[in-house]
Amino acid sequence: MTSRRSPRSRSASLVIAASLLALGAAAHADTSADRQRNFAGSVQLDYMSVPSQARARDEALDGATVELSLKLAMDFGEHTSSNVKVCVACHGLEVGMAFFDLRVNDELNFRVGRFTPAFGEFPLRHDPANHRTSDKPLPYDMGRMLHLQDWNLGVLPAPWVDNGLEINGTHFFDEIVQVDYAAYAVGGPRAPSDSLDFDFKQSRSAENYYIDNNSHPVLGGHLAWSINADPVSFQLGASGMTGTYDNDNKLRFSVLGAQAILHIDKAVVRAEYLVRRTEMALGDDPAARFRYGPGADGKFDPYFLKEGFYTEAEVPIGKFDLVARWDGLRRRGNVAKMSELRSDTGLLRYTLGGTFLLRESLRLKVSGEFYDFSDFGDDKVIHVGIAGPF
Amino acid sequence: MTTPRRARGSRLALATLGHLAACALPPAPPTTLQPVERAPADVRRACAMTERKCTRCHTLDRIQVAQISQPRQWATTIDQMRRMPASGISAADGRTIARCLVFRGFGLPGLRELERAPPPEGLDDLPPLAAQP
Repeated sequence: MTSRRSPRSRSASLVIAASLLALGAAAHADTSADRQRNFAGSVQLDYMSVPSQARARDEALDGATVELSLKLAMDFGEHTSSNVKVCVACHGLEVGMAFFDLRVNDELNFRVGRFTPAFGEFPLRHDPANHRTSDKPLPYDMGRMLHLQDWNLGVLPAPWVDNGLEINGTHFFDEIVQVDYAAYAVGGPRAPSDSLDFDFKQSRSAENYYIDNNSHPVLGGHLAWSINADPVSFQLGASGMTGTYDNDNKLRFSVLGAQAILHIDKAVVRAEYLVRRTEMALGDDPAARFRYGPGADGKFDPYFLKEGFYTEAEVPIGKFDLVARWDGLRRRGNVAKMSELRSDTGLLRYTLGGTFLLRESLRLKVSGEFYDFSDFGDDKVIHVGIAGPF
Repeated sequence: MTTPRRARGSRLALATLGHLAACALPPAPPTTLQPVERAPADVRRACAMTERKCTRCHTLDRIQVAQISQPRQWATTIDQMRRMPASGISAADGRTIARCLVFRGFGLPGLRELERAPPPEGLDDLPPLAAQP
């Protein structure tokens, strides 16, 4: 019996084989004398209050939550290193990193294992000790937003952790201009057959095993350009990811992202935009499945578009770091019959907050948020938390 | 009307609260990487740059609690950070940052040790130790 393999799977296999060969050669130069071990971690305890609701649990994971991360990095020398990181949060214990970096030089690095593929800027700062607010910007929200189930979280929840291979690198031109790239093949988001959207629980469910659900990798990449004229720097970047997400390998999706970051001394202004086009299964009887009927051509549109953005400014003043953020989500397309969302729905959120260095590395985080929903009543949220690295 | 005894009680309560607050909030932790006095001028300049470059991705607290046991480990760690996307840390910047962090952690002997050790690939040709004040 002849096995059938798609060109995508075949290409991925070839890339992996070539990578391992290149890496073996590079790593051969490292010696045991070069080995170094480093441990780091962080904890955040956050209390989320929704004063505009008598009982907020129906629409949010409010109350106290803890986020813990423990990371062990091992350097085997100039060309090889490994990182293992475990995280504990609302979702329980998860392995956020378990990968090897096999580096030929600055411009060519092979990352193999379980990692967060390069997408946008915020995922680099996703650790609660590395960003100033208690929660994440809406495009990257992973469960702290209001009406999280109606919206099915953000566009691409961060950190997006997946198994696969990434080839990345960085190059400086004249010490001022830096160009970064990354290209990867990972398992990708998951959902059962006949789905309307990603099922994020399946990405961290042992019941479904930590494997690719449809035998076809998702492909993606990232390109960023930055100019560094200390103390000012400016960065532009673009990201993309595409593939299928259902078990039957039929439902397609594409995510695109853009980022612009301006640093002036220690102050920073950031802006990111993400958009995801996702195919929904129409099923045998779309009229019974969807809230809205067919279009003018008599056909049901199987796609929906989900956009998200955030822009924020951070200004450190002594022991205080002040942050102001404006972010939002918009979803356009048909919705499930029982959904409370309309075919064009939006959310804008306004955040003011700050951190205060209490002692050692411990910071008090306080922020207030105002949610402006197009399909639900407005809401207010207050976050008070303690966070710090160790 | 406030009696003298109640006034004394209020003052005592305020003093107690103030004392407790002072105990609970010890002197402010440093919000700068500027090293101890008598650091060479180039190290002070290096630390000013380190504060700007490293806080793009994480707070200074992350540096202050880093568990680094030898000077060369700083060089390796900085080299990893340098390769992060849009780090803004060139090879020359990496060498400068290493001078700051090694001096903070290990003083002048650390800087000398760093110069003796073969540097990581991206951080080769470390400049010679500056003249001491």
